[in-house]
Amino acid sequence: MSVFREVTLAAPVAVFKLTEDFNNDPFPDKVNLGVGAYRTDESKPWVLPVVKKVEKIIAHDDRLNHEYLPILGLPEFRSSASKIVLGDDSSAIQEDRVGAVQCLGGTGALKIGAEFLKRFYNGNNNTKTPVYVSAPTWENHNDLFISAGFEDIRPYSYWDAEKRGLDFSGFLGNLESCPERSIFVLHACAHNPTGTDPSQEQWKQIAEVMKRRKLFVFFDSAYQGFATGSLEKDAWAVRYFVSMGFEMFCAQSFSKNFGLYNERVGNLTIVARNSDLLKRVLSQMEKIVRITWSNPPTQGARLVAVTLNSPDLFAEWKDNVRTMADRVLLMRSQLKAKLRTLGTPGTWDHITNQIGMFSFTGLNPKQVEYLIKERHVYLMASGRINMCGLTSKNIDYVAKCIHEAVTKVQ
Amino acid sequence: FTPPVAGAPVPQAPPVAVFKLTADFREDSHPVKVNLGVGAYRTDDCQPWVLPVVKKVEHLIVQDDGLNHEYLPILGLPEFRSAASKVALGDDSTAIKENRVGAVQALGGTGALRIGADFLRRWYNGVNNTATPVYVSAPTWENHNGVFTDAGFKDIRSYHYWDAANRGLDYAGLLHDLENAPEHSIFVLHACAHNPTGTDPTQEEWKAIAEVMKRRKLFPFFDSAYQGFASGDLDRDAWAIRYFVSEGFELFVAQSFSKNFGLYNERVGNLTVIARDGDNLSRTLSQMEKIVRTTWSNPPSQGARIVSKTLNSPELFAEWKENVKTMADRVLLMRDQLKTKLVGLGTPGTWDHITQQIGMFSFTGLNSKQVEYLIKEKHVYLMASGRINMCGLTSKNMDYVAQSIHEAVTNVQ
Repeated sequence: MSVFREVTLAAPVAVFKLTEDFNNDPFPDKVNLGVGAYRTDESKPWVLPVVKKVEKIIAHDDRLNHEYLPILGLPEFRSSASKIVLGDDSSAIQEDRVGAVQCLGGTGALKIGAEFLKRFYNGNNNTKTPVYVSAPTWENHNDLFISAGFEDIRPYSYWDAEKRGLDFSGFLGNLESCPERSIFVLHACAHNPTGTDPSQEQWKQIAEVMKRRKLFVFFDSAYQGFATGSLEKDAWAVRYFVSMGFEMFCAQSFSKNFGLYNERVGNLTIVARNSDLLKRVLSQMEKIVRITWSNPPTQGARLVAVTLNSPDLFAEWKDNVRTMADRVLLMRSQLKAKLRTLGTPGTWDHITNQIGMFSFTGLNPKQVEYLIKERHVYLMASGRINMCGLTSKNIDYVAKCIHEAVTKVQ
Repeated sequence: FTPPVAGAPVPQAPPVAVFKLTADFREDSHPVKVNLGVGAYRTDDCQPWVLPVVKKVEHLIVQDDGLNHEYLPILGLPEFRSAASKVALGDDSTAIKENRVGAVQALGGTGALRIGADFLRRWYNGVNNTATPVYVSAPTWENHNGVFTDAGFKDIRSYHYWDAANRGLDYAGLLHDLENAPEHSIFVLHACAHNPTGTDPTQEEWKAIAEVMKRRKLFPFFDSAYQGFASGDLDRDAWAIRYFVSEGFELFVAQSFSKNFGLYNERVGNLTVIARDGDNLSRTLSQMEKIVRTTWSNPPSQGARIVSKTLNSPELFAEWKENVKTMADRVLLMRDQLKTKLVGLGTPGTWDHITQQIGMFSFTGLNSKQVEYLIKEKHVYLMASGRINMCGLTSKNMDYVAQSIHEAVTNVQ
């Protein structure tokens, strides 16, 4: 008799199951619009040229070794990563009240932040502090905060399905009525899965309410540079909140904007009121890291640090990022144009209004099922598509399939 | 973090002792300082050592345009996981042939322990049974307690291990604790080269330990951080694990490739899972996927690629075993020389334990006053427990260290 006999079979993670089904599909014209990774116009993964260059530099640098990193990570990575999101001229950095923890991708940064907040925010081990995540949000946010021990994860209004845009009044309503000191997980830009971000004016209003009601700001920044092609533009909201004097966390991922998905490069940036508080917070985060992964992996952090800290490589990286962002913008523009030309019912402005990797098409579950089963076009049940899955070769087919789904299936 | 009404201030946490020691060592300006603290291999020039086979494979990887950076599966690189489990269980492992061995690529040994602990808390001995006792050796690696506590276990206990008076294994005490532990308790066992004592049970002792554990339904959770490094021989260092598997146990092995591959900072670990059959295995792995997903999502590639390429190529594998033997042999040489010098100096006490102990560490038996003397007066840095890292010894500092230990023992009580 097995000691594991009571273990139930867990459901697979939806987005990976989708890719698995796609991989097993023998249909020659199949299209994968599921998992969120960049693809070239040949539908291939893309190792950024600057990454390939820096990998060679690192491999040939005999001064480097494999000694343990500090628990909080590679110092030059942490500081340059925080600088990227807060800006070169950040007064918070100059005031010595910004710190960081190198983490395992955006997930790891969220995890360390969540574990810290559970222990020390709003009391000690106050697992009842409500944590608000957008409706909808990245599917892992909910489970992540639950696994950290929070008992009360709530949605805040975000996506207005009818008008296919931001439910701003609903969002504000939640901010006004939630318990004080609730934690809010905000998408810094290129909201996943809707691709719909608040405008600058809307962010200002959001910040005003959050400050007045003492709500905790936890940014998730997975697409900086990737959304508009501009690092500064994509970091506007984060920087605005810092300038408004908030103490806050920002979970940064370099998976997408460096294409370093599998090296798990992330950074938890912490902005505190002063350096003494910051020091104490970091010391407690060290304890959390120590019993989770001890100290972080080096390769990805070295790649990013070398790149960000060299003017030439940094310029080259920004170019590579723009390449990706521009291809996504082109696909958005072309998809909308083709749907318009086909006369597909409904409005399709949201395809070009939305920003970043994903588009929330507005297709319902029946239409999604049709697309997958009948047309071999794979997308998430929510109607989310990854624009990177579109290419000049498959865009006609995809547009036609969407047209059929909308006209034939209700 | 300005304390809100319902809040509490964030206290400054004390630093991790072993890293604080190294920080103090770095700041020490004394010309003949010696660091016998943190557990990483050093050459006879007191330098970190990137294994030649690792350097070679890193070049192969960087030149391979067929590789990209797409997400690994949640459970990790498949060829790494299987090769790593094979290293622990043996090429001819029947459990592997019976399809009841699985693995989770994890962030070093720490990550493997963490995923295993998180899983056991949720699913072992009932659902979310946080009361299941977890036994760790007295003493043990300082992080074991924290990992299991944070996974949610409420009852971490120690089992007798180190006999300070005899400077050896408290075998009777260990057996006694096994006999008296509540059934289904979890036991964290060091596969070889016990940290910090360097003292392992003999094969006969392991057999007796296994007999009690089987009879009392205790769960073996092996921590294997030094395979190959301890004796220089991979199979010898895995004997205990393989014995338990052959005895039909379901068990976990948290493997680290930090030391035996010198890949400390790439976080290469593997949680090997042995279940009674394939069905129990797949359900277990599916739940471990969920745990991984909310911890690090999927693991880092570089280190796993290096290890996988090496283990899966006969030539590179042979070269790696050579590199491992180089490290193990240097440690054995240092053990031999230190004992010889202490005996030569006529240092009071017996020093056989220096050569009887195995692996990177030696539990010298020095008391905390003597340790303090060594650090403050002689600039020889070691853990408060008296643990020294043999790798910190070199042909150049050996005399100084032996002399300093001699003085500590004779001057300080």
